[in-house]
Amino acid sequence: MQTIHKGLYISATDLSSENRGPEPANEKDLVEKARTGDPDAFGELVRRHRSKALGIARSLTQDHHLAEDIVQDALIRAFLHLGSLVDAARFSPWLAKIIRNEAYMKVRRGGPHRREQPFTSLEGARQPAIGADDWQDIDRILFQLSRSALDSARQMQDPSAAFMRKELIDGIRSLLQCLSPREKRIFEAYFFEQLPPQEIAALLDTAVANVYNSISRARSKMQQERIRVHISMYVQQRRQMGKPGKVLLAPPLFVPVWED
Amino acid sequence: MTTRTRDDFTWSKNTDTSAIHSMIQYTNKAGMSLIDVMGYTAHAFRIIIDREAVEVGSYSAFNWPLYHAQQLNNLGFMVQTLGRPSHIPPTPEELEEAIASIQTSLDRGVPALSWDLFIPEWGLIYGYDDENKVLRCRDVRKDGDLPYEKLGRGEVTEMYVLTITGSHPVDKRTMLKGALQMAATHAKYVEVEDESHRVGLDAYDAWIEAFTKRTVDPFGNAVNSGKVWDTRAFAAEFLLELSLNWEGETLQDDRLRMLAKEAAEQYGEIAERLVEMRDMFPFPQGGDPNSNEQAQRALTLLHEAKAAEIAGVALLERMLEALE
Repeated sequence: MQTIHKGLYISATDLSSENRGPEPANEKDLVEKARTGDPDAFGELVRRHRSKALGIARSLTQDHHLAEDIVQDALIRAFLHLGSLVDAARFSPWLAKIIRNEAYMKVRRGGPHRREQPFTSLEGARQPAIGADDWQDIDRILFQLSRSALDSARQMQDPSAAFMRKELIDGIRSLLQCLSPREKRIFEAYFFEQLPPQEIAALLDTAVANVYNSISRARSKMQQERIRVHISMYVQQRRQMGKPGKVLLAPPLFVPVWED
Repeated sequence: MTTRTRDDFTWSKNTDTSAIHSMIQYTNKAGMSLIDVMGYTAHAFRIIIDREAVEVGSYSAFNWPLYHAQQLNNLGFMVQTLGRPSHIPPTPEELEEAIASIQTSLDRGVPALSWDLFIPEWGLIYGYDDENKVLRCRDVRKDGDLPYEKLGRGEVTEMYVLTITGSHPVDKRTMLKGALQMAATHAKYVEVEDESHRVGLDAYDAWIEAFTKRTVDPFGNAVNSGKVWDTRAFAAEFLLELSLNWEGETLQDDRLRMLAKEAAEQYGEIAERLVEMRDMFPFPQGGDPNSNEQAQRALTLLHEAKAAEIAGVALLERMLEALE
């Protein structure tokens, strides 16, 4: 874990303004580039936002070392989930939200948290897009993932990329638990192995229509699962913060009148 | 002198205002009557009709966050809204934000207004239980528990939550002025930007158009006849109470009471026409609105109702002048 942190670690001194080259066009372009996996573009984003990120983390933790850890982890998360940032122009508030979530997790758990965090909680860090179908994000991540799988040689040389890929796959696999074995097989074949539905149908000796149905059913199940996990995490957070668990007010004045 | 089309003003078919009235009972403005809530939010003066078929969803074809906030602001409340009519279910993050806002409001002792809890109508959320992850809800269809995950995933899959975040005192004169302004604006200006829905006076033309073309949806027409009749019966009662109870000794106050009485007559006329519509097109079957006989009768009633509404709106505008 430590090596991975070091792999992405860029210290505040390295990033001081004196060492800067000319400013690239704009942040939106950087985000777009970083999304395609360009490490230089992401490095530049980190350079620009690191000190602000540290400021946020410090204000939340009142602890310099913990703040450093939080920012490191948050940056890894940000890199992993750039694909789910819908509006590239909103990188800064998006990152700030990841930092806050990360700080919250760390403070809550009282130390570096485990890696078995469900995928949905990572997703929780993203800015909600107004009216966006959040499934597009999962699809985008899945496809990015399969793209990066093709580039396995590069990953062998870069342990942090391999780690990220593993974490991503683990996160998605935790969601897959809600599927039946057959749905899971089809879903994995479609997304991870990128097999066309025709091939999956031949492989599993079934009709193409069934494959489409399974994919669609699996998507909807996984969507429900995402919501379920997200809400569970939220309720758990409330409990840990000591919020009330139950409130019931007097019933409203108006009464149900519908006759079924 | 018109005759009252109802005696009981403790319930309304207009579920947002009815739910808002119930909500107010948990605040420092508790005790406000449904007649006053219908009047001072100007809901009693609203009408939206679809010109193609008088479709069932017409009453909800408006910008909810905007108008609900306007209505509650006029009563002296600050509100927060999340979601809007969109036909898009909430993301996990949007859902979490909504539940958090509902819980914050319930922790303060005030329910939240929401939509499509058990039926696509407005209802209230008046409890939560983190252990079982359910919201206690009531709408016109049912009283019961709704899983957190189902909020915004009902029949029409869209999420809407309104909570009251603050309250300040407002005097009756200010409320009345605000309400009359909202009513006059609603009557004459285009609030809804879509192809088929019409608002205010234009809504009568839309209704007339659908009957003329004989393209009326029996169910939608039954629902709308009932809901619009309900509003105008409240309008007449609100104005009548105003004419009897408005305090003030100036000539302008006398004038206001007189104008309110005249306006009550006009809205009473509309309610009389619309109650006949309601009875001719009973919910839910809706009668036979595209038969020549019923369509002809409906057209007569709608033309008369529109004439009374034009006179009524003119009187509301004169009341507004008397308040200036």
